[in-house]
Amino acid sequence: MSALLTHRLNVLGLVGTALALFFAFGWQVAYHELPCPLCMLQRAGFVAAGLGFLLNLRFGEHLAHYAAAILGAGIGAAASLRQVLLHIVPGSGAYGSPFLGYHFYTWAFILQTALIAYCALLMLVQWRRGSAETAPPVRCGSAPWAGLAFVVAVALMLLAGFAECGIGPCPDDPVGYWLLGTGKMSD
Amino acid sequence: VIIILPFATALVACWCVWRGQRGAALAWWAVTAAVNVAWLFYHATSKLNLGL
Repeated sequence: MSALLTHRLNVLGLVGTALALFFAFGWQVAYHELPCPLCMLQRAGFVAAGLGFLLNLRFGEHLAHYAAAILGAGIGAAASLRQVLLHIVPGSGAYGSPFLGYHFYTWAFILQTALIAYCALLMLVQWRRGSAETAPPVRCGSAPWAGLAFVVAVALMLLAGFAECGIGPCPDDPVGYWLLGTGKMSD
Repeated sequence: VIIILPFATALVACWCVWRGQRGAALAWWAVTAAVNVAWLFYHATSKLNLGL
């Protein structure tokens, strides 16, 4: 297994987290489905996981970077699981509309659990290569674009969150944007 | 609570990555993770109507 392969798999991981965030934002805008506080935490989990991949691409693969990605995805998965449990009892309703049969919090749990397994596999590949702790960074053309996409996605989350909640708390069941004067600020 | 705080600290971490400051980037990642955990406790520790 070459260092270039794991580098590309890190690019894939970073692009995947960015795409998940872009998709969630696109759905929010297209269907006017505002994220609840737990939904925001799930997005923040994707962001924390993506930072691990970004560190790997910029500074080379390192166990600490993989640990960052795994812990970030774990925190996001905990928020997702909480929301799944809130709605798991029949008749307890759901939040938002489903996509391909599952609600977004279920998708978030599946993807974040998959991210943890993905990082474990990448760590295994790194160990098999003989560089158990650290590996020098690899330069390729796609990494800066993947990094830029991720940063844009994080900035979008920040702006969307500010538009919805300002710098205060978000309501549990948001109905509009604070910035546009259509939201309520009670929790 | 300021729900957008983890996104702001993550952006600072991205800035540190871009500047080549690995230690600072990891520190800001840690702040991001800590805020996420704190917000998780705030929003997700009420009792569930489930027998777990």
